[in-house]
Amino acid sequence: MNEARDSMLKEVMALDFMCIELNLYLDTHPYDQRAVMVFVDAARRAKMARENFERMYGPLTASASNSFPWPWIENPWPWDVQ
Amino acid sequence: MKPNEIMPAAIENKPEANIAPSKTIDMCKMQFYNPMPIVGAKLTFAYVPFQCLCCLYSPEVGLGQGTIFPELDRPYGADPVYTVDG
Repeated sequence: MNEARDSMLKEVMALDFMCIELNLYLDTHPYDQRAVMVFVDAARRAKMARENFERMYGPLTASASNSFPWPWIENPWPWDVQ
Repeated sequence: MKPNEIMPAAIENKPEANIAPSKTIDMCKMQFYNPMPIVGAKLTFAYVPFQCLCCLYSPEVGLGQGTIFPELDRPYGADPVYTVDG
């Protein structure tokens, strides 16, 4: 498996996880202005990381597949991942 | 009769107060079913401190630890870099 691809995918996963964590925090702290700022920044970075990854290595979700021929099957299958 | 007079040992929270006076005590069953109620115990309040946003782990560290909040990372307060007193 491509090492650069792995590290980019891990970055996407880490930033998505950060968004989920801050989402949960904000559910109980809706007036925490600093947390909202951190969340907005994390969401923006997650979106950028996702777009960068998808531009280079293809769609991360089937709904992000928007080209022809169908690019979803070009991703490594679960049994291809080492 | 006041509740205190029924089981004075329960007020003092002695362990024998919660054990039924029988010859053989099956300790396995005791874990699930205690036939003697605690009488006269006072209500108490549970207190959970409200979380405050302090420092956060980086996304990569957070993904590895399972939380981005150092104060929720177990064992709690083990990393002196992320503790308030540290």
